[in-house]
Amino acid sequence: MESLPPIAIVALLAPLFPALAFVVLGFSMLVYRHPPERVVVRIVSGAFSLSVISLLSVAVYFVTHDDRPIAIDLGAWFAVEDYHFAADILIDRLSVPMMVLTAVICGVIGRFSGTYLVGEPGHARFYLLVSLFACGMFLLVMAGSLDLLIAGWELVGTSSMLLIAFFHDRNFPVRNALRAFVVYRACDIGLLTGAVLMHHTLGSSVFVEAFGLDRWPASAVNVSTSGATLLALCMLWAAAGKSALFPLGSWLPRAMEGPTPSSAVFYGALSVHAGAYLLLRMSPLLDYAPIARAVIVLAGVATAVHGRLVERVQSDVKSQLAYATTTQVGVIFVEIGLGFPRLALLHLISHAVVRTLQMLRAPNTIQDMAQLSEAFTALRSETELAHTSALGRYMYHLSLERFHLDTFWERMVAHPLVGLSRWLDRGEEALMARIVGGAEPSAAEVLPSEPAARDLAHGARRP
Amino acid sequence: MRQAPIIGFLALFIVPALHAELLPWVRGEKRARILALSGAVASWLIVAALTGLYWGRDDDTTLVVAHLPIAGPHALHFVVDALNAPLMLLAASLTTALVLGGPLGRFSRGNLRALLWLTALFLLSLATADLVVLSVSWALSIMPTYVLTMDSVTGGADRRQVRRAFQLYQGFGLVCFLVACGLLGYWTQPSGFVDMSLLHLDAGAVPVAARPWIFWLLSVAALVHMGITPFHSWLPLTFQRGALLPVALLVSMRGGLYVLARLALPAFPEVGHDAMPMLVAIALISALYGAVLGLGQNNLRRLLAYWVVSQSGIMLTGFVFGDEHAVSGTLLYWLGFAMATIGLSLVLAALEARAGTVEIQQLGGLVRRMPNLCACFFLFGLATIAIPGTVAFAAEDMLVHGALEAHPGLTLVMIVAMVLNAVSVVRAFTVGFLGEARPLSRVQRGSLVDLLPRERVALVSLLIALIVAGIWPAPIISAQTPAARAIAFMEQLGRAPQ
Repeated sequence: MESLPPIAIVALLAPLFPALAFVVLGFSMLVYRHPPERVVVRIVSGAFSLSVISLLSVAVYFVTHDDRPIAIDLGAWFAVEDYHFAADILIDRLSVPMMVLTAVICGVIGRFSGTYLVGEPGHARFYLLVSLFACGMFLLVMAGSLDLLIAGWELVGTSSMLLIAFFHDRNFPVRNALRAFVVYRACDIGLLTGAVLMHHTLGSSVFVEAFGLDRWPASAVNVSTSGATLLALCMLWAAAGKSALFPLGSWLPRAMEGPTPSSAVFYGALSVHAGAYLLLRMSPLLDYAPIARAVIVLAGVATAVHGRLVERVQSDVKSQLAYATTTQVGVIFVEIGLGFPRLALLHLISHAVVRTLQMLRAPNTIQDMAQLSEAFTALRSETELAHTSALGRYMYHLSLERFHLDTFWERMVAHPLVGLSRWLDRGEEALMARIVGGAEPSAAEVLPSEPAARDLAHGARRP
Repeated sequence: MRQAPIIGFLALFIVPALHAELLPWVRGEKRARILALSGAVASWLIVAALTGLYWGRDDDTTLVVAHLPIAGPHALHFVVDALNAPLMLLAASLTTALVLGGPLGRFSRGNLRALLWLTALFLLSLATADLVVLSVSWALSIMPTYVLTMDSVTGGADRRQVRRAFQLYQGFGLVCFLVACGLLGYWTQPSGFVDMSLLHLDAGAVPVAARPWIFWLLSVAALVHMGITPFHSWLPLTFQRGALLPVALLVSMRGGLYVLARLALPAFPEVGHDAMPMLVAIALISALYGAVLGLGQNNLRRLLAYWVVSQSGIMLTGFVFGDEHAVSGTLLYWLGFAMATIGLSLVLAALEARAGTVEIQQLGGLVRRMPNLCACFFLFGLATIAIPGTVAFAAEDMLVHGALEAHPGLTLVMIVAMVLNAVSVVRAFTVGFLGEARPLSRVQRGSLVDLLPRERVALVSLLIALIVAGIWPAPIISAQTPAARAIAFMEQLGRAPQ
C-alpha cells in the first residue's frame, strides 16, 4: 500500500476516535463495571469533538481544493483470488456533508446526554453504544466501496437494536428491539445481494471504479437497463428497512422506547436517513433504471401519505415525531426517484438538524404541553369527525390503527413462520418418538405459554 | 514436501491419551481437572509446534509429512497441510476451553477421560494420511462421545431415547463410512493393505460403476456426522436431552466436511460433480429447515442444535459450489462457527448449572444477575450472525460472494437461512436474557451468580480469538487458501470433460 496522503489520515481519524472510545470504555466497563460518569462523558465527548475537528478539516480541504472526489485506497481487508474486500474511502460532494452532519450531531448528542442521562442506570452502556454507532455511521458515510458501507451499516443496525432495548429490564423495549432487528435483517438481504450484483453489473463494488471520478451526482455508468434496475431495486429493499418505508416502517415509533438522545440520533437524524444516503450514493445508477425510479417514487409517496395520516392522530409527541420523520423521509425518496439528488441531500440534512432539535426538546414538550395538547387534540378530533365524510372517518380510524401494518406482518409473516416452525418441530419429536421409542411431547411441552410469534411481531405497546 | 519428526505426530495422539489414562490414578477431582487441563494444553502446544513447522516453512512445500515404518515396506503416513493445520489447532483449543470452562458437575473424572480420548482420536484422524488409520480413528472417535452422552443424561427414558438415537444414526453413518473405506481399500490395493496413504491414493483402479456408491456412502456418513437434513434428527434430541458439551465438540469439528474434502472429493472428483446438484439441494434444505425450526424454539439447547443443522447446511452449500471464494469462506466459517458453538455451549452449560433450566420462557431478566454470562451469550451469538468485527463477517462475505457468483438463485435461499438464524439468535437473547424476570423463577429470587474466573478465562479467550480473527482475517485466509484452491480445483476437475 502506498503511503497515505495527509488528508486521508485526517479523514481516517474520524471513525478511529469513536472506535477507540468504544474499546477504552468497553475495557473499563469490564474491569470496573461502573466507571465514573464524568470520565465516561469526557472520553466519548472528547472522541466526538476530535472527530468533528478532523472532519471539518477534511471539509475545508475538500472545498478549497476544487471539490473533486478524493478516493483513498486503503488496500484490501482480506482477499481471495480475484476478489478482495475493498476498504476504500471516498471524499466527495455527498460524503463530506454527511460526514460533517454525522460528526456534529454525534457531538451534540454526546454533550446533551452528559446532562440528560446523569444518574441513569446504564449511563456508561449508553455511551458505549453511541460510540459504536458513531464509528459505524462514519464508516457508512465515508465508505468508498459497498463492502465497507455494509460493515458500517451492520454496526449501525446492531447498536440501534441495543439502544432500543436500553431499558432492558422492561419487556416492551426488548420486544421492540427484536422487531426492529427483524426488519433490519430482512432488508439486509437486498444489500448483500446488491453488493454481489454490483460486482457483476458494474465490475466493481468500489464507487469510483463503478461510477467514475466525476463530481457527484454526475457520472457515466456502463450498465444495462435490466442490470441497473435489479441493482437499484435491491438497494431500495435495503433502504426500505433502515429508513422505515411503507409498509416496513411500523418499527420506527416502537423504537422510540430507547432514551431520547438515542431516538434523536438514530430515528430523527442519522440512522433513518441511511437508506436515503444509500440511494443517493447509487443515484448515478438510477438514470439507467426508470422502473426502479418509479418504484422509489411510489414507495416514497406511500410512506409520506401513510406517515402524514398516522401522525395526525397520534397522542404523544415521540410517536408524532416518528411519523413526521417517515413523512419527510418519504418525500426525500420521492425527490431521489424524480432525479433531484442535490435537493434530496439538502432536504436530508435540514430535516436531520430540525428533527434532532425537536426530538431533544420532546421531553420538555411532554412536560409542558401534555394536558393542553391532549385536550386540544381530542376537541379538534371530535369536532372534525362530526363534519367529515365517511371516507374521512374511515381514514381517521385507519390512521388510528396505523393502517393495521403490525397485524398484517404478524398474520402474514410471523405467525405462519412460527407456526410452521412449531409444526415441523412437533413432527421431529413424533418421528424420533416413533424411531427410538418414548412418549411423544405433550401439548404443554410444545406450546409454551408465550408464543414466539408475539416476540417477533406483536405484543409491544405503542410508545 | 518437507519432513517432520515422527515423534511430533505420535505425541498428538499419545499425550492426550496418556493423560486420559492417568486420570483414574489421580486423587481428588480438582487434581484430576488440573491433570486434564495440562493434557489439553500440552496437546495444544504440540499442535502449535507442528502447525508452526508448516506455516513457518520458507519454501513452497504444500505439506509437511512424516512416515512411521511398521514392517518392511509398510508405513504409516502423517501430514500437516493447509486443510488440517487450522483444524488441529481448533480441536486442541476447543478441548482446552471445554476442560477449563465446563461446569464441574458435568465433568466428572470419567467425562474428562472420555473428552481427552476424543481429542486424541480427533487429532489422529486429522493428522493421518492413511486410510486405515483414518477409518479406525473415525470409528473410535464415536465411542468417547457415546460414553459422555450416556453419562450425562438425567432420566431413564431420556437416557434410552438418546442412546437409541445416537446408536441408530451414528451407527448407520459409521457403517457407511467403513464400507466405503473397505471398498476403496479393496480396489485401490488389491494385493492387500500395503500402502494406504491418501497421498498416493489412485481411485482410477475402482470400477466406474462402484465409484458413485463409494462416494455416496462417504457422503452419507459425512451428512450424518454433520447433522445435515434428513440425517439430523439425532442432533436436537441429543442436544436437548443428552450431554451438551461433548456433542457440541463432535459436531463443531465438522468431521463430515473433512472426510468430503480429504477423501471423497480427491478420490472421485467426477462423481462429486455429478452429485453436486443433489448435495446442494440437501445442503440448502438443511440450511433453511434448521433456520425455520430455530425460529419457534424455546429450549436453548434445542435451538443450538437447529443452528448447527442450519449452519452445517450453509457450510456444505459453500463447499460444494466449487467456487474458490465460497470454499475459502466455508473454511473460515468452519473455524468461526466451531468456536462460537463451543462458546454458546459453555454459556448454556453454565446457565443450566445455575438456573436449572434453559427454557427461555422460564428465564428473562438474567442480565442484572449475570451480566458477564449474558454478554458472552450475546457476543457468541453475534459471532454466528456475521456482525463486523467477528470472523463470521469475513467468512459470510466470501461465502455469499462466491456462492452468488456461481448460483445466484440458489444462494438467495442460503441468505434467507442466514437472516432467519440471526433473528432466532437475537430473539433468544432478548427474550431469554433481557426483559423482566419470570415469576417464581430462580432469576427473580436472585440466587444466581455470574461466571466464575475459570469460566470467564475460557470464554473470553474464545471471544478474543473470534474478534481478533474477525478484525484481521487475512492471515487465516491466506493460510487456508491452498486448501480452498485444491478443493475448488478438484471440483472444477470433475466438471472437465472426461
